[in-house]
Amino acid sequence: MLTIAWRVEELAAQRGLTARQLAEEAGLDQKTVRNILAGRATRVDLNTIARLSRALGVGPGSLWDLGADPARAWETSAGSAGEARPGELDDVLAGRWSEQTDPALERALRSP
Amino acid sequence: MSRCYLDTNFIYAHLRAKRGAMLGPVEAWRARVLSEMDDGGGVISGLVLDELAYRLVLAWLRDDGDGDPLSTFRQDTRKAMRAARRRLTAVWRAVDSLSLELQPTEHAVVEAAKSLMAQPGLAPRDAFHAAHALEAGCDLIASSDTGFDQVAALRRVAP
Repeated sequence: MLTIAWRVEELAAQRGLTARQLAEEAGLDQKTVRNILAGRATRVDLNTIARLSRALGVGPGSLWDLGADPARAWETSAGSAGEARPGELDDVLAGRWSEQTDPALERALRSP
Repeated sequence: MSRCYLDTNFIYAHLRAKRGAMLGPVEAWRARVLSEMDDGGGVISGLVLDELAYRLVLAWLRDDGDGDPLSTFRQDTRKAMRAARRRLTAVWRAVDSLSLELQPTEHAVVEAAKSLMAQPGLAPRDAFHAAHALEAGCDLIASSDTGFDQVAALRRVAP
């Protein structure tokens, strides 16, 4: 399936624009811009595209690229840290993570 | 459209799930979270990456046969981190592929965390997670931690 990925983050970074600055430049809501910057927005109206295009100084066609598939990324990234030992995830799912493996606590208790 | 903060336990469970599994509790949780997010996407913070790395390093030590990974980590942190380098690189690549939004720890986040510690009285770490979520405009939090149920503006998507 053909998929489209936004290039807005790349273009904004090239211009040194944060999400807030880009939103201001384009006259758009920050939440909308953040979604687009993160490559998640899939339903964007023509007015928004025109505003982004103008703010970034590129033609509308330069705002996206072909090829990425974020939904598939969830499938392919599952298990990337190795398969859990038997019972390991039971505790995680039950919200029973050991306090001993709390990084803040570990740091606080570490000997100087 | 909802935005969802992905707590460390959610990302951890996803990354430690059995590859290719379809019907387990982790897969069901993930499917529910993705369905709730619709196109709103997921948000994380530096805290999530901090906790994720730390807990994974301990898990890998245990995977490799260490019966007391916490002591091993404390005794020679550098060695433990170097041993985990290759696996951590793969994890960062996997996390990057998810195109999650990283909410920075801005001044407003710190102030919100202070407020959440005072009322409703969240634990410090939970307060910071919740503050990142709220400042990022999230209305959902994917977490197995019931502590977030105290935050009225966040609906928890539990396993």
